[in-house]
Amino acid sequence: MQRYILRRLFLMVPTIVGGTFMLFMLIRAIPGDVIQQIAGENAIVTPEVRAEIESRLGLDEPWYTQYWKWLGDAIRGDFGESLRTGVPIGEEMRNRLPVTLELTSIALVVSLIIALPIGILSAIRQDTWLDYVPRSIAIGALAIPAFWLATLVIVLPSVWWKLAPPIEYVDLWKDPWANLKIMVFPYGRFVPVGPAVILGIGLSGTVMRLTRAQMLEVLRQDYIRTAWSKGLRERTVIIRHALKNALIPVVTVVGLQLPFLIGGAVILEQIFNIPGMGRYLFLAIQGLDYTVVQSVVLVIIVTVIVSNLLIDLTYAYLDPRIRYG
Amino acid sequence: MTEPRSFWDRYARARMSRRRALQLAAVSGGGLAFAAACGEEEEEEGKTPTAASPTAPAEGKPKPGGTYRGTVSLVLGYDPIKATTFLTHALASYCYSRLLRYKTTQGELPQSEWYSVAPELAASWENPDDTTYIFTLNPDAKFHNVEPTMGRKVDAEDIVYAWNLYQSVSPNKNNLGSIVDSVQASADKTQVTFKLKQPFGLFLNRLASFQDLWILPKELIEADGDGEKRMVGSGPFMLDPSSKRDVKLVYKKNPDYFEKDEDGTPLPYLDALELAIIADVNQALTQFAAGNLDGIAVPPQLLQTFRDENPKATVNLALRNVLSFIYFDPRTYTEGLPPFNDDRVRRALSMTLDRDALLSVASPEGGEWPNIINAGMGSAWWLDPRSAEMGEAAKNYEYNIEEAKALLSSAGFADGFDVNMHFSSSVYTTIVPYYDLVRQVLGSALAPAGIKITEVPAEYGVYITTTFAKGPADGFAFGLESVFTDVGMYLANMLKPRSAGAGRNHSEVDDAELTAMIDDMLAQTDIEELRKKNFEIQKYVSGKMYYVPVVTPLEAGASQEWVKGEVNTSGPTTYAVGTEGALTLWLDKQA
Repeated sequence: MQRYILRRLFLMVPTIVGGTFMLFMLIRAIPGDVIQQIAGENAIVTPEVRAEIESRLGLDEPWYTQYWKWLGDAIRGDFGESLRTGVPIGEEMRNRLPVTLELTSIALVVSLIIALPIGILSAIRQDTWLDYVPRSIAIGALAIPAFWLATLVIVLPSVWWKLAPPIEYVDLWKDPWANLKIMVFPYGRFVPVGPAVILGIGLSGTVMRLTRAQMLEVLRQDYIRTAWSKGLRERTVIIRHALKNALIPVVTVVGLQLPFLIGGAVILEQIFNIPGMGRYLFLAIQGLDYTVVQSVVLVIIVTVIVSNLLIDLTYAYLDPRIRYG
Repeated sequence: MTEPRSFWDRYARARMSRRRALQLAAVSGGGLAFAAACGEEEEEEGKTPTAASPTAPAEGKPKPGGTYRGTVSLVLGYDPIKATTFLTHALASYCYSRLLRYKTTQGELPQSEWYSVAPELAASWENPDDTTYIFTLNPDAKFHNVEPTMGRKVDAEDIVYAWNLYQSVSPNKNNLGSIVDSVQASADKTQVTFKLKQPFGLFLNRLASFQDLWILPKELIEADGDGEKRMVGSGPFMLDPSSKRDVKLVYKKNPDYFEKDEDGTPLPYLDALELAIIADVNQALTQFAAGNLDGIAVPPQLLQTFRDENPKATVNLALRNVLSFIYFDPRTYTEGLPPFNDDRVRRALSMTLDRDALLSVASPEGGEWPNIINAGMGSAWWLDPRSAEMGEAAKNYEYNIEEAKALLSSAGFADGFDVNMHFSSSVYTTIVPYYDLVRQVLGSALAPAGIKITEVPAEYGVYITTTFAKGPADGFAFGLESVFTDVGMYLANMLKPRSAGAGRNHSEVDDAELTAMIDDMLAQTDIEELRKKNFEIQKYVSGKMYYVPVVTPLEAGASQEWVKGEVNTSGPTTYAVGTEGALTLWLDKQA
């Protein structure tokens, strides 16, 4: 296992370098003029002004020098300052990253709470209404965009009952209950329609379908037939024997949904006024705040790569054949 | 010929009595507002106002106290000197002061008085010659009683410091820097003298601009390097440290603020003002319906639904001072690039626009036709393209497809032409909702004359730094010109050559005759003469159609029934809401 971990860690390095390099180059390919942005919309940017700003920002140096300097600073936690506000990006991200992590974590838990029981039930009651209805729901969850669901969740209670979700985000550490209400129960009364639930619903469709498919495959295996023939109870066969093996691919897929969750967070944070990384990225893209966009995407790249590593390690732990493959 | 000032006064009054005043009376139920709208009082000709007291409240005796809950969609920064965006200037107006501000009144201010100046930090001023202005500061003005200023008095040295700061860092520094030669404090620090490089009749209006000379204290800049970390000034509100840029801004009343109402009650009336950061329009409307917000902006397409769902809300309609216009690839004027190098084509483009139909899309409750000066500047400065005063050029604004086709034919484009239309695909859609509504129908509006457009969208940041700042790469662009607070800003910025520092000359118009006309106008110190020349320029530009103005819709804001003491929402109020708008607000929760 140790060799496997070392090998995976070693492979992470070129992946991160490759990802950051692509990011660095793509940011520079975005249309628009950062020099004009810095000089101001009114400014007539003469070649002298352009040269002065480029020199100040180090943009007159070769691209590889700029890249290594940026990467080196980022590794040390120095992401620079927002072009728009001048506020240090690292400081902003330290405040925002936990918010998005909380949102996506709750969404993940919600998706599993919805998907696993329904996926299992759907498999063990194949081709009955207990299978058809959940499968339809799963397709609906996959098809309905989160932003549309979020808009309905905001508009309909207002029209019908003059209700509104909490207007102000409350930090988890300041008031956990108020924070949970924002994320999960925005209208109180334990009606779970918050942004974390909406995000989780989107993910649950994929997990539900995969769980069902894996369960059906495992339930046809010889060792399950043996378990039945031994006269074991249904719960024991399903939970102890079938589910454990069926969940291995599900773990992988759940982990790979991280980019989907982050993408959803960008929109939902905007709609529900949640001051997380998604909203930060959204505003930065609109304002052509290159340094912020670059930094946030860098954090997302690293987060996805690290989470993939953790998934691989979990997979290897659950299925030893992987390590020796 | 009718003398412009009296014509426009009569025009404004007639307009108020016929439509706007009735509209206002209908939405607010305020007979006193109606009286105010009709302009019972008129400022004595040539007399400098000497007091900063707002007009008496029109809705009973104000009840001091309470917290007003509003919303903004985006906070881009705190420092009004470094900012180019009106969003930052609007937020700054709660905390910082200017020497002068724009006149407002409860109810509706007559259009003829929009963008006229009123005292703020400067209690009075004199103008001994054409190039000297001496301002006497309000002796009661103090900075906020917090770190780092600790309530010290504002003196003339602070104005000089703020001037130097503005000249060193502001992206807008040319607005005043091209006019002002020197700024000096008197020995006793009670007066500050501005010496101009040459006579400039719009100097007081320019000084009141919310893009320019905000008075930031020296201590703040020395401590923080700039004004981005906090707002500490001498304005009516103080930014509370609990504020979070992405969640909510909390402004607490400045208990030492120097202005009082006519009864001697200290202003502002409110104890606090909270601005929730809400980017999603549905979220804002929902929060208003639930009573969690006291005031919001309402997109025009949702106005009727809003009224149905919020029957008790007060809806205010305003002509906002943002120019919507079509501008061309700069090569049109620098290289004579067809088709828009020919004024017949530009005039045909304008005649193809059915502006009333566009208004019905963008602003079902009405609006105006702008020319290069936007209708949001008010009748004192804007020449209505539909008026007789516009003369021959008026026909260029009339919807006339046959004439447009004839013009295109005579210019060699009998079959029309294909052209790219550049526009911003974001930000405007939330901040100025009518922009997208108009943009969506421009293609079909131009098609009858054979002008077939291909849409070229760009993300706001890309659009602003390329198309807007340097002109469209080809064809034309549909854009918004931001808040200019005097006609000189519009004309000099958009029509004088870029070599003369005109940063908003998007299409690189370079017309020597026009430049001379603008310079001549700006040098006028007789304001009536200046207005006449301003109208002559508007007629000239309307004849040339260097830019094609589109529409000025009425934009809607709404307040809960308990919000009282609102000033006119037209004119400048939208952009300097702290001083021009929020000073006299109060809450009557029993309403």
